[in-house]
Amino acid sequence: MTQEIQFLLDKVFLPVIITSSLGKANELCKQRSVSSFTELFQKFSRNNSDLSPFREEADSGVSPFSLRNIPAIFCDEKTQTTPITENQIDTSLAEFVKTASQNFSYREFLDNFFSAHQKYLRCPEVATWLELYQLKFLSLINNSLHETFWQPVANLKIVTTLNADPVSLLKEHNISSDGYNYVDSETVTIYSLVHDASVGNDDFFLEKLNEIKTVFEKCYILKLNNSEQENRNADQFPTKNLQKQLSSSELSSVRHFLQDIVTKEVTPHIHKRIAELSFELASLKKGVAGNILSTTRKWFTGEREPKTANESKATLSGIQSDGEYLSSGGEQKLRRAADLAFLVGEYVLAHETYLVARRVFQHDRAYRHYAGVLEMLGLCLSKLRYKRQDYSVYFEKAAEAYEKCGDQLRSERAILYLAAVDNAGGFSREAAICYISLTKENKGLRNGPLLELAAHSFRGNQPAMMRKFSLHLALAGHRYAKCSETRRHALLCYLRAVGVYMGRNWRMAEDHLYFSSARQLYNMNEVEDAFRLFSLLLRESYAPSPHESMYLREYSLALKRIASVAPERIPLVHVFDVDVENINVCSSSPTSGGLEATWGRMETFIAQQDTCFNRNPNSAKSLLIKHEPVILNIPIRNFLQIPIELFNVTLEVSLANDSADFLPESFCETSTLKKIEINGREKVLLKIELTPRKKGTLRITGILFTLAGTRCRSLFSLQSGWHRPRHSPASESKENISHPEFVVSSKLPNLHVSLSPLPPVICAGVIHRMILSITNVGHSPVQKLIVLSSSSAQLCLEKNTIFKAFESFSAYYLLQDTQIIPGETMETPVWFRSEALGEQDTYLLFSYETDTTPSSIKRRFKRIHFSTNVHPLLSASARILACQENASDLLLLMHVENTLHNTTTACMQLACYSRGWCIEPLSSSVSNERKMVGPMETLKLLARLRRTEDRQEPNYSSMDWTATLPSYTPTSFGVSISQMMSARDSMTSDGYNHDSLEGALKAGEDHFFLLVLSFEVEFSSATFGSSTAHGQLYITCLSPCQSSSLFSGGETTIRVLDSPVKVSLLHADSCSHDFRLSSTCEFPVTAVLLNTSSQEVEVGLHFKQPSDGDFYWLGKSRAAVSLSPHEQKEIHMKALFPAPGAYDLSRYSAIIRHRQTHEEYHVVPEGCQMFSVYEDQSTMAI
Amino acid sequence: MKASKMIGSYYFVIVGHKDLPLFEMEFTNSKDPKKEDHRHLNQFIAHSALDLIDEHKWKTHNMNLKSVDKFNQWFVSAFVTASLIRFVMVHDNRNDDGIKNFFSEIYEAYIKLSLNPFYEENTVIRSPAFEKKAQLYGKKYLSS
Repeated sequence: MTQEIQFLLDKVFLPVIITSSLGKANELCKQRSVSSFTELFQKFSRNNSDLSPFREEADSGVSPFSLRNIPAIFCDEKTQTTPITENQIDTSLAEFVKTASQNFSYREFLDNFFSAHQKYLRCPEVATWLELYQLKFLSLINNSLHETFWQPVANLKIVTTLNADPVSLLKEHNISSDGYNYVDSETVTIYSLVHDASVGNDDFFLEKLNEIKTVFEKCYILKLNNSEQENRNADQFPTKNLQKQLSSSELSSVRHFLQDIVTKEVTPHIHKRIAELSFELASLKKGVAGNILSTTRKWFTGEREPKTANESKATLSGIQSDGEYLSSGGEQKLRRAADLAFLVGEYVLAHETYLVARRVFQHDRAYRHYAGVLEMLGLCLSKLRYKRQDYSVYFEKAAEAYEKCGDQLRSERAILYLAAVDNAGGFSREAAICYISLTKENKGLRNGPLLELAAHSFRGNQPAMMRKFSLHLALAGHRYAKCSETRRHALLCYLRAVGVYMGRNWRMAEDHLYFSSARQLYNMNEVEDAFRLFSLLLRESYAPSPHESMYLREYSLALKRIASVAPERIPLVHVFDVDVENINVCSSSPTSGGLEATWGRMETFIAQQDTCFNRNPNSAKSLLIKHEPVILNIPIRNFLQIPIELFNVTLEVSLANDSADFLPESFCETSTLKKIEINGREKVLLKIELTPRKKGTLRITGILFTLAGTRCRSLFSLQSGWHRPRHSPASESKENISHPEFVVSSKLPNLHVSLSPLPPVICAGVIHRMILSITNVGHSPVQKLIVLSSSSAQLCLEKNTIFKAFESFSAYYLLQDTQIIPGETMETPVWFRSEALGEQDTYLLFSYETDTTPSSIKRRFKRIHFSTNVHPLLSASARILACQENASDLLLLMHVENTLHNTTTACMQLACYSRGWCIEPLSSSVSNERKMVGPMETLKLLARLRRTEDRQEPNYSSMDWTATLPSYTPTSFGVSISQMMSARDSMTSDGYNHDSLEGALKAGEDHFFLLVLSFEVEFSSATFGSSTAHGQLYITCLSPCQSSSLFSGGETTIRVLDSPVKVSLLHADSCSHDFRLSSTCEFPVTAVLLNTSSQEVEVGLHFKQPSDGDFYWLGKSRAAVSLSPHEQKEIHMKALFPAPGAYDLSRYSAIIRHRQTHEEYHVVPEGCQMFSVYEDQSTMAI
Repeated sequence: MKASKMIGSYYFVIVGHKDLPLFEMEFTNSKDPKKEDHRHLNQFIAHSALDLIDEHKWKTHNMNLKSVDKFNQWFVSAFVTASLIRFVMVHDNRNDDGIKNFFSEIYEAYIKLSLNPFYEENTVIRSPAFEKKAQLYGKKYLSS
């Protein structure tokens, strides 16, 4: 750039040659697509600012100025030489800029930008254009009357051999052109003869040449279409445009012809003219004693042209403005002499002459002329390599002087000269400042090239000021963007500017340039590229949400345009990320629930345990079954800060092996989600059902959806993390795009498993029975069914299953010899019992396989998960005693202990299974109410076991405390007692010798009893609410006479009956007391005495006082009462608690004595009766 | 105490080596939405001034380079630390003393931050304490 600008001024100040084509001369040009010789010669001029071929020249990599090197300006004789107005210049330059903009190619920039995100700052094409722009501007403005550069120095007359008599043509023209202003003593006339060898005769040409030489002394010849040098296709000249018009030999001929004219005629003539003018000026000096200042107007010019209107005003205002000197006047001769000296490089002479002229014009207050001379003085000094401060002053003063006389254009030109000189002298920064100073608001499109020139000057500085370069390019881009015809140029500016910001984290500036570039592309109908750029912007922008919504709006518009242009193509859109690694496949049936990790462990466990297990491709690719719908859980995340709405979301699927041959509908069906709203930065799980229809490998290539009314698709990316790093070069490469694949297998068995529900709340230790229903809904039989249980609870399946207990799992092997054919349902009871308290999760993994499938994939899994809340339960123990009243009967004494703290349990039925015994209440007067066991209480139940007549078969009998419960029968359990026993055996370990028990039962022993206590518990909890749990307790007993023989084998002893009087304390669970108000807490306790015998008894009750700081009994601590048969009495006491804490209230003893027999029993409390005293701090607030 | 009011707008940026912006903050009391739309302009101006800052920093012994550049109505003041980290302030009204004080306070805060073993030099500053301090000094020195 700098080097080219260095020669800029050499292309401006050139001698002007008038070209006159006589007769049929121009016909030869027209045959070569050139209208005239003037136009042809101007193409060879250094001053040529023609835009049309520069694009091709730039393409070829050769500077356009290699052809344009003739140091002369060629004009037609009718060329307008009057100055043009600023408006005309504006229009002309705007047209020039627009035309140039159309020629620019941004494709290379854009491709480079998209493919590699590379900086691409250099653009020689633009640099060339900028120089042409300056040339154009200076050429337009140089037609000024106060300068003489525009005055021609030569008149080139051209005749051809097409005319019969070229000599007479030249003679006629010499006569007729006498009136033209250019024909004066200053102009040298050059005669030339053009000969086209293909048309004319060479002899005729020689003859005419001799004639011309005879008449006019000299004649220059130009031979066209010379057969000896004919080589139209030679690549001697790279200019493609001209090659179409002239052959390379012709181009060479023209160039040599013009060089001859310039060197042999024009330059010598200028030198001659300088000498003449110097002589004239010197003679004028002599006559006025060297004081040209005072005599100029008086003696040599004398006359002035009339004042213009402006001038009159200036004069009126007291300032003498510049007038227009006559061309024949001394002042103009002075200026002409200086200008001619400048043209031929005589800068010292030119400088001296300009200095004299400056004094003249300054004296005359001819500011326009004065300013023109100052400009030239500056140029002379710069050519003479003076310091910058020396010549810059002249330019600045010239600009001021021009402004003073209202000539803004030339003021601008003075600064432009300075900038050009600065650039040539290595003062690029100063040049840039000059260009910037020329930009003004009202200049419109002309600001664009000035800012671009400033940018390039900043880049040409040493060191390069790239940051200033980028800013000014961006500003130039904004100027160009305002005009629709210069959008290409704007885009080019933005793309070059963004290279400086790349990878430097100036996000807002960078985003702005991206956005501006994308908008230019959109307006230029390059929608595809605009869309790509908007996409890049959305994906990588860190802009605040208002900016993001603006980007999204433009993005949607581009998307719509693309859809309207090519409706058959679905554009690729990236407005959300897909987390491919976490795509899950689950059955379309309701989800199994539970922790995925547990399921994973169980599946791995089965794979490890089963040696026959074929490791299937599940580990690499998920398995799908033909015609079996699955649900794909696809996590997506909106990486924008603003919400987006997607409509009709579905999957884009293809077959991996032969995807081209099938339509997606033929090999799979996918469901469609009507509308998805995703807030900014939100993660959403898309659940899309997919039903494969063909065997093979199914590939999910992307997601289809409708955005802003346009159908689009989004590809899966396998990026770690959600957001892509800015400017990752490979962000669009295919290596980073992964498509989840699924193996679609042929028909496999498919089990539907259902389990009858458990109550939400169950009691610990209680066995619950459920029905497991297994249906084969697949297409091949099920074999080798394994049920793996992962639960602290215990399950029991059918007796004929093989059970294996492992460290953390229990496995049940079903279908050892059988199979479930398609459509068949198998039902089996399952007993469930849990010992652990709290919420219990149970995982049942059904693993099954088939041998009929040819595929290596045979094993499938089915999951069932349920959770239940397990509460603590009653505990019961029973003893069978000999009955004293009737030796044939037995007494059953059962202790039922409620271990719950705040729940009352109701015993509803006691059933007995035995051989030859039936159970009945001890007394017929017992009420038909449920036996309630309060919290932490122990209930003693007494019953009579009476002999029955039938001793062959086991029978069932029951004793109810409620009318609602049906009598106990085996059907109430639905299974035989033997099955129940078997279930119990497998579940419990209660210390009995089960083999003996079972043996005894089988042997028909009549000393074995199975007792079943039915009860009801009402629970209330925050999580489960109020619920009722029913349960049964199973207790096995032996009659006393047999127990010894069975277990101890010692002597037979019958224990005596326990105390006939039952003593129990009635009280609440706890109380609260504020010990600050009163140091002790009193609480009422009622002792209930119940005579269970049919005899009258006396009871002596003793409430014991503490020995060490325990609670105290208040009231009569010793009481004596008599109880008639089955009578119940209450004794009211008070307990005195000294401090908060837990107290055992069972601190009493009783002595019972039969009135008749005086038999005494000592009764002591069994177990503890805990009572809690809490500190009540509620009064503290008061 | 009456809250002092910010006059004009200030854009402060710490620029590390290789022209990486390490910390950015804007001080303005204006809620004009137009200014929101032109926030990128601050970055353009500050970034382009780096050329002149790099030129000026070798010409003076002072860390505070005062006003180094001007673009339309915006001035650019700069401060260069011993480790050649550049503090750049784009502002639209003259407040040389306030900016000088702000720079020196921020410089002290920056030195303390750079002594922090968890802060790696020439990386983006994400310290909330530093941000708080910058806000505090902005209120103190850039408001009148």
